[in-house]
Amino acid sequence: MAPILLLIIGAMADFGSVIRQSAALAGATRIGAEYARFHSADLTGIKGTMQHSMSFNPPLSFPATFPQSCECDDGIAIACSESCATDGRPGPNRVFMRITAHQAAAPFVSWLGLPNSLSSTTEIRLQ
Amino acid sequence: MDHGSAAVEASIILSALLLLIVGSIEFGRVLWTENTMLLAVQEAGRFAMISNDAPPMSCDAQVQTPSCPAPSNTPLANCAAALAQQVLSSYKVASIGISVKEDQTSTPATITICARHSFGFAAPGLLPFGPLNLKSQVTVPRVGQR
Repeated sequence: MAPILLLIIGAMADFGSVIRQSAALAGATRIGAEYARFHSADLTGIKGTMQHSMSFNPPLSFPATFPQSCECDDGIAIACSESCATDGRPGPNRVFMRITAHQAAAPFVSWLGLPNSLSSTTEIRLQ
Repeated sequence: MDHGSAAVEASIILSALLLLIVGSIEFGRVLWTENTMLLAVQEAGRFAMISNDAPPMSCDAQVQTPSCPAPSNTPLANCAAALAQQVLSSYKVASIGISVKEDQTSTPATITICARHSFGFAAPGLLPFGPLNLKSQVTVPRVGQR
């Protein structure tokens, strides 16, 4: 009985810890996205803002760039190098940026079904 | 003889099961409270990040929260703390201390929002440990500063 109880308690603690880690990571990407609204070209600043927003252990990792995508007012995608007005489509280009962060999950035991790494993405409209 | 031993076994298993059920509920409450605290400090952090030094409302001065940095008595810090409290009250989480500190000496200027709560178990007789000290803290740069 005792080993089963310990197993259940251990699994609950690990599962809770991963959920907590995941919530913190989602919050960090939202903070990074908020920073990107003002300084979208400052990739180092965006990454630093996310990394230092909370005491992350293990530290966060990031993709080399945060991709941007564009669409017109009709909601249909357009290449960011093109202009909706020039193409005869409605509105100025809407520009979006996807902010992603990864973190290794740190459970005490590698339970079946628990991920080894966590990832969170927030998309923000820049223009 | 057999009936007696079955009753003893049942009492041992039931007490362990009860402990597990109560423990699960309490663990869930701890996790939920901590998650709500994290949400509140993040919301307040995002507000402080993009606001200038003069927020569009007036807010009461903060009170020092134990284990958190000393609060700054500025309109922005006070309003960020008030916003965090508003988030917490909308989730019906009470008695959580919030401290907001501005650091104008760093480049860029930063603002730190800290929440701390002493979590008391609903069944202290069954789980004779605690209270647990929960703390959530976020530090953000001031990008909306003028």
